[in-house]
Parts: sequence; C-alpha cells; structure tokens
Amino acid sequence: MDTVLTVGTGLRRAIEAVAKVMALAAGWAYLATALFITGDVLARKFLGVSSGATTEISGYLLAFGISWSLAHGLAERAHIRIDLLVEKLPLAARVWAHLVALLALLALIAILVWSATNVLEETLLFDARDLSALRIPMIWPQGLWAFGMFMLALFAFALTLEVVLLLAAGRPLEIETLMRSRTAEDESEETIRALHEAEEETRA
Amino acid sequence: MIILAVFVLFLGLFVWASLTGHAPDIAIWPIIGLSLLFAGCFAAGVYIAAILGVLGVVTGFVFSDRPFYNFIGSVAWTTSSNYVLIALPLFLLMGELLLRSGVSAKLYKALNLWLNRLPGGLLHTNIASCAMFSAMSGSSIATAATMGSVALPQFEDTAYDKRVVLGSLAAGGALGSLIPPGTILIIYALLTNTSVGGLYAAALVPAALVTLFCIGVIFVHGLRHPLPDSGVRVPLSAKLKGTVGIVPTLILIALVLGTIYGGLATPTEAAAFGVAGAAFFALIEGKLTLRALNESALAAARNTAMVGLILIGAFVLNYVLTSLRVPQNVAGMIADLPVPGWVIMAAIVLVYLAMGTIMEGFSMVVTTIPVIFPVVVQLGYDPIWFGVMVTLLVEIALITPPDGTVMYVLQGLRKSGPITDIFQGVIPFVGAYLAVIVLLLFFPGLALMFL
Repeated sequence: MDTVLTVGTGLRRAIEAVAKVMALAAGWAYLATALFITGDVLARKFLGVSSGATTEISGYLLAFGISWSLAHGLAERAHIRIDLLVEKLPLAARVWAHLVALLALLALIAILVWSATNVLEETLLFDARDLSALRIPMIWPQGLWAFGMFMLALFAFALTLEVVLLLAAGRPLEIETLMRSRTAEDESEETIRALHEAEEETRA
Repeated sequence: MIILAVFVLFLGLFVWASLTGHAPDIAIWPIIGLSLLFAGCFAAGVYIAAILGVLGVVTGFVFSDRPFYNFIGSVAWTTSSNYVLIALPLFLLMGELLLRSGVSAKLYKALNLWLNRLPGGLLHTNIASCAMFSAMSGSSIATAATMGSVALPQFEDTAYDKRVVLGSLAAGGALGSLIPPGTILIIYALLTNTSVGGLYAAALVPAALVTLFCIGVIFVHGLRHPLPDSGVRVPLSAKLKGTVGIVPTLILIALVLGTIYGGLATPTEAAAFGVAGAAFFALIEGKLTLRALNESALAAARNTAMVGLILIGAFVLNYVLTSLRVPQNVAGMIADLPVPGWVIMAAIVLVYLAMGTIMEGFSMVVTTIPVIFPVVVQLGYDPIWFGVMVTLLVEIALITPPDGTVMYVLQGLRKSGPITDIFQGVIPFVGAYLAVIVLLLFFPGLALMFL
C-alpha cells in the first residue's frame, strides 16, 4: 500500500513541477502579448506597418496562456469552489466532498479533452488556416491549446488517484492539505508577501 | 441562509406560474430537478467550472435531440481565444507589476499633502489614493493590498479610530472593480456581448458618486470626532514639490483610461499599454527584477486560468441553454408575471446582495448573468446600466462579511487585532455603496449620460 502511495505522490509531484513551468510560460506569454500589441499599435501609428494579425495572434496567446496554466491552477487550489458548508463538515465527511468535487472536475475535463480532440481532428482534416493576413495554420495554436488540456487531465487524474489511495490508507489529513480550497486569507498572504519582497529588494 | 430563502421564493414563484398556466412549453419538473442538483453541487463544494460545464452537458442530453456535443469544442476554443478577454490577463499583470513597483507610496504621500487639513484628515487620503490607484488597476485585491500597505503604517500611534481607518481602506479597495479599468466589467461585456468601452464610460459617474459618498462618510466622522490640530503647516512650495509624486499615476491613467475614452485604443490595446507603462515605472524605481517579473507572470497566469476554466464551463452551459431557448423562455415568463418590473429588479438586487455574503464576485457574475441578463433586457432595462449595477453589487460582496476578500487582505496587512474591527468599520461605507445603488435604480441616467 505504502509503495503504491509513494509512487502516486511522486507522479503527482512530477506533473505539478512540469505544470508550474508551463504556467510560467503562460504568464510570460501575457507579457509578450502586451509588448506585441503595444508595438503593433505604435508601428501602425508611426510607421504605417502592422502584423495584420494582431487580433488573431493575441487571441492564440490567450488560449495558450489559459490552457497551459490550468493544471498549475488546480495544483495551487486556485479553481473556485464554494467551501462555506464543506468547511463546517467533520474531516471524515469532508474528504468525501473533496473526492466528489474532483470526480466532477474529471468529468468536465473528459468533456473538454474529447471536444479539443474533435477540434484538432477537424482542423487537420480541412488543413484550416485563419482569416488574418498571415494565414496561420490553426493546428499550431489549437495544438498548444489542446496540450494544456491534456496536462490538466493528467494532473487531475494523478491528484484523484492520490486522494483515493490516501482515502484507502486512512490518511484524511493529507487529503485535506492537498484539497483544502484557497481561502481569502491564503490569497491575501500571497499578495502581502509580494509587497514585502518588493520592499526588501529596494533595501538590498 | 438568505440565499436559501430567496431560492425557495423563486422556486415557489416558478411552480405557481406553472400551475396557473404561465409556464413556457418546456417541462417544468426536470428543470426544477436540475436546479436542485445545481444548488446541491454548489453547497457540496464542487468546482464551479465543473458544475457549469457538466450541468450544461447533462441538460443537453436530457432536453435536446440535436447533436449539441459536437459544438462544445468550438465553444471552448472561441472562449479561450476571445480578443476582448485578453484585456483580463493584461490588467491583472499590470496590477501585479504596480503592486511591486512603489508607485503607490509616492501617490499616497502626494495626496496626503493636500487632504490632511480636512475634517477626517488622513482618512480622505485613503479614499482618494485608492480611487486613483483603481483608475490604473482593475483589481480590488491589488488596490486594497497596495494602498493598505502604504497607508496602515501612517496611522500607527495616531488618535485615528482604527476601525474607520480599516473601513475606509476596505471601501477604497473595493473601488478597484468599479473604477475603470475593472476586470468584472470585462467579464460582463464578454458574457452579454456589450461594449467594454461603453461599460467603462457608464461606470464613471457612479464611481465618482461612491467616492464622494465615502468622502462624505469620513467628513461626518471627522466632524463628530475632531482630532487635535497637529499644528504642522506644510509650506506651499513643499506641497508643490511633493505633488510630483503623483505624476507616474497620472501618466498611467492617461495611458490606459485616456486612450480608451479618447477613442484612441480598444480596452485590450489600452491594457497592453498599461502593462508596458507599469513595467517602465517599475524599472525606473529599480523594482523590475526577474523575480518580480516571474512572480507577476505566474500570478496573472493562475488567476486567468481560474477565470478561463469557469468561463469555458459557463459558455458550454450557455450554449446548451440558449439552443433550448431557456433564457428567452424564463425572461418571457418573468416579464409576464403580474408584478411591475421594478419589483423584479429589486428582487434581483436582493439576490445579489444575499449571494455576495457567501460567494466571491466573479463567480457570482458568471453563474447568474447568462440567465438574469435576458430577464433584465426583457424588462426594458439598459444592458450597460445593468452591468454597472452588477459591478456595484459585486463590490459590496467584497466588503461584506464573512467572505469579503478585501477585508482579509487588510487583516493580513495589520497582523494584530480582531477582524471584527474591519467588519464594523466598513459598515458606514457599505451604506455609501447602497446609496449609489438606490440612486441608480431611480435615476438610470446617471450611468447612461456619457453614452
């Protein structure tokens, strides 16, 4: 039992690490989007040139950004749940609520992965390109987008596996640590830490 | 509990309507069953995105005989790559960069030079600086955190009532969503197909009113509890010199709001300028480190993913419901009820206020707008006006206990004392927000004058 659990936890942690790198890439994609749009507007205004595909490319960067940070969002417990009642349940009941929430999420993810695969198939079938001046093949942005969904599926599956194993092993406290939803306190702690770090850097 | 009562009330209304023959042509009992399932999942703490998306698919299988499932993929893709939605991560990124940039401290000091002589003193600076910061940032949490961290140390060892200090900061922080560029307005625009620019224009007067009313609350408090005169007179030259600190803020506001209102840029483009501008000022202050960039990027990515997943779920549900003509039917049914429109509007406002005590604003908007919006339009209310109303209601949600994120941010900043201080201090300011809601109900023109 313990070996299986160790493997499960290891698997979840490994995917979590990859997911964090992917989310970082997503965040930098937003930075790049900002610079790209700013540059494009300036170039259009003063030089009279434009990529001719600003709307499309920034849209693709957004789709990439959203889907590549989905798994990290789950790992960081950022996806919203209403936990007002769950928090009041005794631990033994709460772990089951966590499992139900995860299974429902898995159902959504299954729908999304199936649908994303459909989108990819269709794009490949028609060799679809967008309507911008660059005629970008849609398989690139949509492929990256679908990959983010697959990673979310992989992570959600590993997380559910770990929760089930922990449940079987009778270790509810660890489930609580994994699944406890992010409270307003967590959120504010993080913001405040960011502020203090900025201050420390000025002093240093 | 209030939410439960309201829910039962609506259910009763629904059953009554079906018995008296007002009901639309779709079966009523399966709908009630699904609504109960929906409510049950919410209470059980299931992920909101999963409730919306899975419920959408289940509803589709129960009621639709068309292959609706073939369109889920393209619904999800168009939602994720929507040009309007890009403004969201960009404004979040701008807020994260500003949080780390040090622009806020300068702003606070500059405003304080001018406002500290009024009855209420420094408290006015809290509201004014929050309002100005809100004009650069779309996030209430960022506004409360940044201004709170600058302001709270100023009040240490002073005679100010700490409850009012915290209350004014919470009220000011909540302004972040209403004063353009607010992120809630972007989500609303996306869900209802209204113009972000129009919403930003409509939010101006109500935002100014909330700010004025909050200043009024402090003024009255200041007159009732006068503080001893510090006797310090800052010479005019020093005042003018100190005011230079306001310049980065003004430039950023011009860059973001100026370009939107001037018709020079779309909100998405303005958001991109804002990120570039915030990064520039962080660079000047020496705060644009790789670590700050990485953390800002990660925070923006995480929050956008959270919003994105819920939006995908909401649009799947929306697609199924619309193809079944549910919103149209519900809207028609409610409009046919033998009660005047303002009663229904008042009921909607009450539902939002009740929900706001347990739910966080963004999920409230996403889960309710697809159904409520057609009702509102059917009743003859202006879509843009309603967007401003909803945003005001969401702000109240941010500062009503027990689930008011902004208040927890402030509590985290001060580290000692009970959170009930904030709960008490914010009450008069909640009154200011409610007053604006009432004004908007009676004079919708307040929001629509610049359209």
